[in-house]
Amino acid sequence: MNQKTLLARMALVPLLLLAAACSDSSGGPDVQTMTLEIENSAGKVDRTCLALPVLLGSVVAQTIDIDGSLEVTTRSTNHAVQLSYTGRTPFDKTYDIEDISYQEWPLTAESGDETYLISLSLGCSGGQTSP
Amino acid sequence: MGCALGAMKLFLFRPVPTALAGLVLLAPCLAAAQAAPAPASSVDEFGEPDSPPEPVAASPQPAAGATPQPAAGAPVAVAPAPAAQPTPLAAEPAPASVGRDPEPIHPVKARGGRPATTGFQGAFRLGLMFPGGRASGEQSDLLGSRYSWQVPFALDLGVKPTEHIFIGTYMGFSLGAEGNDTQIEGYCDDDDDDLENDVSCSSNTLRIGLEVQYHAMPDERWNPWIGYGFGFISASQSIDDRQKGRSEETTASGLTYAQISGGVDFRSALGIGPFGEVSIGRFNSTHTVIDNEDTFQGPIDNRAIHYWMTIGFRMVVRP
Repeated sequence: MNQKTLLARMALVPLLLLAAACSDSSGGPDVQTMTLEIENSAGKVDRTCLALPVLLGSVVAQTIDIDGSLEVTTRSTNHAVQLSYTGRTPFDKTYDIEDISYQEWPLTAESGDETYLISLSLGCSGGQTSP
Repeated sequence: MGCALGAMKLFLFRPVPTALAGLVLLAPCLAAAQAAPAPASSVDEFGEPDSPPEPVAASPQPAAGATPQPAAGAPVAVAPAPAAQPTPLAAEPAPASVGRDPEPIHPVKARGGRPATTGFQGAFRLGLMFPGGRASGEQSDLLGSRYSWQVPFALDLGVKPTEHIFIGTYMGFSLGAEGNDTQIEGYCDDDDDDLENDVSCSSNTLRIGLEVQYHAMPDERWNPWIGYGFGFISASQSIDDRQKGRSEETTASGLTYAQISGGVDFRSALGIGPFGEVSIGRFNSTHTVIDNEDTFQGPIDNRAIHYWMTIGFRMVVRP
């Protein structure tokens, strides 16, 4: 690398820093969402879009009722989601949001004669948004 | 008395010639003690025992009949009066030959204090309040990550059943900005230069409780005090994104187990002085509202101890 190239690259550093400092963002959080998908044994899929809170200490709690036979509870903070089911095959699991994509899905919940497959994924592509 | 002790030490613990010297020293001390109008254990005008003057190094006291003058710099029991005018003998006119003002000294005025008050007392506090500890046991949930330093406006209202004791309530409301969590700070920065505040973030704290204070010198010009209180605390943080039409507010509530404070008041018609305070507590429940909809209200599972440190000034009514 000759001296001119080196100088040019050194001059580029403050310019890049300046560009980063001159952000034109109006601020505000990008609302992070998550899809809770519940599929019954007949292949019917219910999707619920969950909007996650942004502030430390904020909580969004929801109970999702499927056909009156399955109740799944979610409790979300700005960094984790707790997913629990208290039926015949209960579970209570907490996932870091950044790890959701790397988890093994689905979870299985049995209620009555029905078996449900439950999964979480980041973002919402459709379905009911809540809250 | 001090010089007598000095002479006694010489008498008891030294060889014979020195012991004789001790006797020589002791004689004028005894003479002075007989001539002195008040014994060393006398009580002054405040009902407080006088402190004995220190022994004067090896210089014999005046002959019997003369009033002994304590050495300059001798400690005075309570009063911050000039050391050259010792309290124990100040009320007695000094001989003209000494060249002192024969006018008696009134120790209460010399100390400069107003009479101590009892009954109602109120105080207004203003300062800076800094967060510490954890808001909850959750990951990265420090109190300072949620709330910035705040400006507290606080009131103490109560009564002084005695001159030394204050019992009453404290009420405080503090205002500040978002905490130092990098992500939330980023959300709260509006950099688009459109001269509009598109995002506003704030935090506030409400505290109320009972307190007791002990005032060490309630009739002095400078009155140090310490206090202890306990009560209820509620802290909120909010973000309001007007462009995206999204708002979120979270309020954590709990108990203040100990609000330990202390300061010193300069007492005049009003009292004014600096104070410091540490308030230790724990949040027990939380309430989240997103877009004006309650999304959660309930207990905090993983609780932790937090504290607020405050420094500032207070103004006292009926100090």
